[in-house]
Amino acid sequence: MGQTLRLARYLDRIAGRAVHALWLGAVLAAGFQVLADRGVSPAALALFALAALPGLAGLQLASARALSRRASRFIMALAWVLPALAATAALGGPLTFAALVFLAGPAAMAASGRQGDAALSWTLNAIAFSGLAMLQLLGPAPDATILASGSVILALAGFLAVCGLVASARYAARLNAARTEVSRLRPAASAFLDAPGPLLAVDRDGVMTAASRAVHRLIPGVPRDLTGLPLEGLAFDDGDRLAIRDGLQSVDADAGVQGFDFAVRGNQGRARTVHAVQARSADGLVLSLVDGEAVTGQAQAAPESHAADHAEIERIRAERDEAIAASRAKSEFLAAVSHELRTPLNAIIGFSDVMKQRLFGPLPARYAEYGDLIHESGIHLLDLIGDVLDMSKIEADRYELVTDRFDARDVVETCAKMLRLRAEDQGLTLSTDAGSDALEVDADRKAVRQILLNLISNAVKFTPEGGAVAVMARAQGDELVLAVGDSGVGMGADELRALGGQYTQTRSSLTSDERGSGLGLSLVRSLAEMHGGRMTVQSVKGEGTTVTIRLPVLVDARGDVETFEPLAVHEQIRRAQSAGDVISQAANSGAA
Amino acid sequence: MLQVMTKKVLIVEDNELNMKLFRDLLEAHGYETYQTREGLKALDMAREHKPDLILMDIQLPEVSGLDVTKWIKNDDELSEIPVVAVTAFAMKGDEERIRQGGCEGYLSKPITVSTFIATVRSFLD
Repeated sequence: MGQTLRLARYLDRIAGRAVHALWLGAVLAAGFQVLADRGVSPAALALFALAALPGLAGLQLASARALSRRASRFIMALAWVLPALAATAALGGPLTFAALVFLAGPAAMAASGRQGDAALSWTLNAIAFSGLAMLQLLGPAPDATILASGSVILALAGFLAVCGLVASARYAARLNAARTEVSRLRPAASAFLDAPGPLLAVDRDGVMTAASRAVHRLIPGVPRDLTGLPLEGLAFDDGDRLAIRDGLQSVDADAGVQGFDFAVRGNQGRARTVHAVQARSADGLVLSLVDGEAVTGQAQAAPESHAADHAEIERIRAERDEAIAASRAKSEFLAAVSHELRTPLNAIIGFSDVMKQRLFGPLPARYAEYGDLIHESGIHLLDLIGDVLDMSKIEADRYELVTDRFDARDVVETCAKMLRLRAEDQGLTLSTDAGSDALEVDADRKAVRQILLNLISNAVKFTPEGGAVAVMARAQGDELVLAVGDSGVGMGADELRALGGQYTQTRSSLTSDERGSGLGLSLVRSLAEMHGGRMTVQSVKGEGTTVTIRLPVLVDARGDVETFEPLAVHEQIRRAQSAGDVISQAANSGAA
Repeated sequence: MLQVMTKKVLIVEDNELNMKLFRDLLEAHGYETYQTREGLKALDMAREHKPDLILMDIQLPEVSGLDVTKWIKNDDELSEIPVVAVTAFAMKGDEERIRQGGCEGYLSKPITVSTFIATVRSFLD
């Protein structure tokens, strides 16, 4: 195929020059004849000089390659128009029409860049000239002028026909070559278009020459056919236009694979950030696109899997967002509820406080007692609301851990001291064992205290008179282990399982005295989890419960890991009970 | 008790019982009170009675107590009057938010009588 193309190109070049040379020859021949017949006149000389102009210009341009095609075509059209006008002015008759006709070829040539159109116009011209020439020749007694004109016309017609044929041949050869090239490239092209990743081919001027179908999946809303559009045209705003320009040039500046970000105008005119990685191709660049919002390093590594995973990721994301929204709504509802509860509680606590303080004088003893009870109950209600608030704060992710270093043993002692009175009032023993070594931790002191207070007060609440509650603190590896055990009512398997969820209270096992909001344990678990820790509950119905908290907060991890069994707490309880004054039946059965 | 020295307190509170509690407490301690349950009226009453202290509930019908406080603080005539928020917004960050809104004092509901009186006194004595 290359041979045919080369031959066509050779013929084209020869024909291009031959047309001009033959034209020149014809004009000279006609000129000599007319001047010999009619004698030399300045007007005739000027006319023939003008007529020679297209030939001279054509030959000159064929050898001068510096000029662009467009400029050459313009000069040639001018070179034809000038003699045509001169011939029209000087001759008249049917040749006036001929002069007009012979403007058509160059005019078409000037106007059209397409070889096929030019060839067609030349051929038509040649036919028209031939017809005119025949009319002239068949007419009565042609004179020398007509003969000269006729010979020129005939010569021109012949050469134009040759030129047209050659041009057509060349055009056909090119077309053929192009078709072959297309069929050769088609597999590559379809591989490009069907590529799983979004790919864009861009030429050196930044015009898109191809776009894989995945581009439309990545950026819904961009024009269906991107071919021929400048890449900058997709930019969301001027800044993105600059980013694209710089990005396309940066690969020219220093070779290699780089990336750049820009926002495009996607669906409903919304900005969508895209990350593009450029690579050089034979005639420009190939850009591999990635969703800019999802670029976190791994997205670039696997552009193929990206499109496939996209839908799945979107689905999971939507589900997650929904769950977060639901959880947030619940937490905000709880916060609003506690606000609403505080308002009437203000009157309850406030007025009973006024009574307690005898602000308006003395009160009969019984009413005074009732006033105190109202006040006490109000405070209890307030504590419950506090739990609700803490819980909702944790769930709304508004609870922030404030960590500092402290000895966990101090917190254990403080908490035990705070609740020991209440335990003793209920006829319980409350013992602590925090070991002999310091337990230095880096944790939220308030949270650790809250954990212990909730666990101990729960244990006290659920242990009948004569029982025991033991608190133990140990270091194990990098974990602080806190355990609170009791010889209380305990829980069955079902109740234990129910503790897996939040806001669960084991009501079935409670007497009317043993109230709990169920929030305490949820709060403990949340606070432990915020420290990266966990909570386990072990319980035997009728024997007691041990709650163990493990928090990875120890400042110095212990090399010698002390074995720690939550049941050791029960051992401690047994010891406490045998040492204690009051040993109830319930406690005895728990120890057996 | 010297009547001329009686301090005036404007209470802005939309809950009737809480209003009664605050009024009784303040009057028992010798303060003169003015009451309104509407934030919009609070401004007019403040102009009319020139109170020495304003107790401001934050969640009010129509306008919030913080809005009313802002108007008071932007009013040349009233901006000197201290405003103490008495509110059931008692979550972490609420006190800070309310103080930034222009309130000089903050009391969370439910109040305790002793803290309430001590806070009021700190602004009036």
